[in-house]
Amino acid sequence: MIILGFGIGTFQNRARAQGRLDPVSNLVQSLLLPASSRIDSFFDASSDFASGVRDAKSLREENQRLKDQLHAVNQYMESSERFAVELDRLRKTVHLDPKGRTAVYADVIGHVPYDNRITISAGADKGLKQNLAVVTVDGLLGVISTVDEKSSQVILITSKSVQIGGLVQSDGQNIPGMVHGIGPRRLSMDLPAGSIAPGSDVITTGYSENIPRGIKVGTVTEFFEDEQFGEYRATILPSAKLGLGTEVAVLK
Amino acid sequence: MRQFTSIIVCGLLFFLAGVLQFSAMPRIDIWGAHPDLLLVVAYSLAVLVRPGQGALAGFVSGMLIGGISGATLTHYILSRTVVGYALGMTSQMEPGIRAAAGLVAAGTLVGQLILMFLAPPSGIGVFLKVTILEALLNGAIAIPVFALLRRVVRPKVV
Repeated sequence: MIILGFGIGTFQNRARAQGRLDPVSNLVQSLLLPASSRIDSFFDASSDFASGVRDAKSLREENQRLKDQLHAVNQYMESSERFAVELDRLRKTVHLDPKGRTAVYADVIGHVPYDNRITISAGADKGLKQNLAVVTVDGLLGVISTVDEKSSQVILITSKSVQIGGLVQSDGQNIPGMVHGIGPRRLSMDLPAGSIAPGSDVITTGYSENIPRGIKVGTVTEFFEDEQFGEYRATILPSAKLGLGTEVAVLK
Repeated sequence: MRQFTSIIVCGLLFFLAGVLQFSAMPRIDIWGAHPDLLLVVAYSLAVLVRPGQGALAGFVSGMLIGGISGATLTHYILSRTVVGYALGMTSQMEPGIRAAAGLVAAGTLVGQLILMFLAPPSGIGVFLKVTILEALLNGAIAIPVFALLRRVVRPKVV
């Protein structure tokens, strides 16, 4: 048997030298390995199951902890995105074109929607006075109606009580008209004549001493024309919207 | 007929031991030592049979462990055949279960020492420590294996 063992070993070494498995090892492996790997899988599954049962409490706690962390991360991401947008708006507000006037920056500190009115955090102490233009980075938001020491009331341009001079820039022509609010999200512009394409921009005329020329008011969405009665009217979507930011600038 | 049954049972035991040796035994880790089921079956059988048959049991055990692990067959076959033969010589004394467990443990020690001389391992200190632990484990496992084999190979005469 010992001689046979040596013989098998020699045979194995020769097979190894030729880069292959010897028949004895091959036979043993083909006999035992399939069953062995099946039992191995069974033990793996049993071990996973047992560890699942054993560590159920800690796994549940870990799961809850991870959920809490995920929730916190999501909240952080949302805040971070919101702050990024706010920062962008602040940068734009700081760098907005004051149209030859001096910009006084303020925050919106109050809003009365049914009255189309907001309160801003700057007043007489900053040199503000009635009828000055209040703008955001998107365009004209309103005009100052009353001024207190440290705050001011602003009537939004969507208010029916506000009328401002506007210029429609359509087909290379500047057509003047009067813009006034007709609802919380719409403006109307009465025009003397002409034809306007929807999508045209409306800017301020600058004919008022308080509102400089060139501030964007909105975009024409509809145009109504009645030649018989001489009625030409455009509906405008205002550019500046509340809710996108709390920073405004007053052009004094 | 009884001899045929014994051969079949022993064959199945070797097969089962071989399968478990490479699936369940690596999971049992006691300070780096793993039980060697093939060795336990071979040596428990060797204690019950004649020296030649004991040597054959050791031979089969060495062939299986070497073949499946891809190790050099000669070293395993040689060490286990010699120990199997030696343990077979004790069968005339008809050892009891505790004596058989001790013999299996001693056989493990001697077999591994022979293996150490045939194929010197890199860390002899660690090898010896693991060998001693493995001998103790094998001795413990030999108790039920020997009891089973004794019923098959050498039934009690009433």
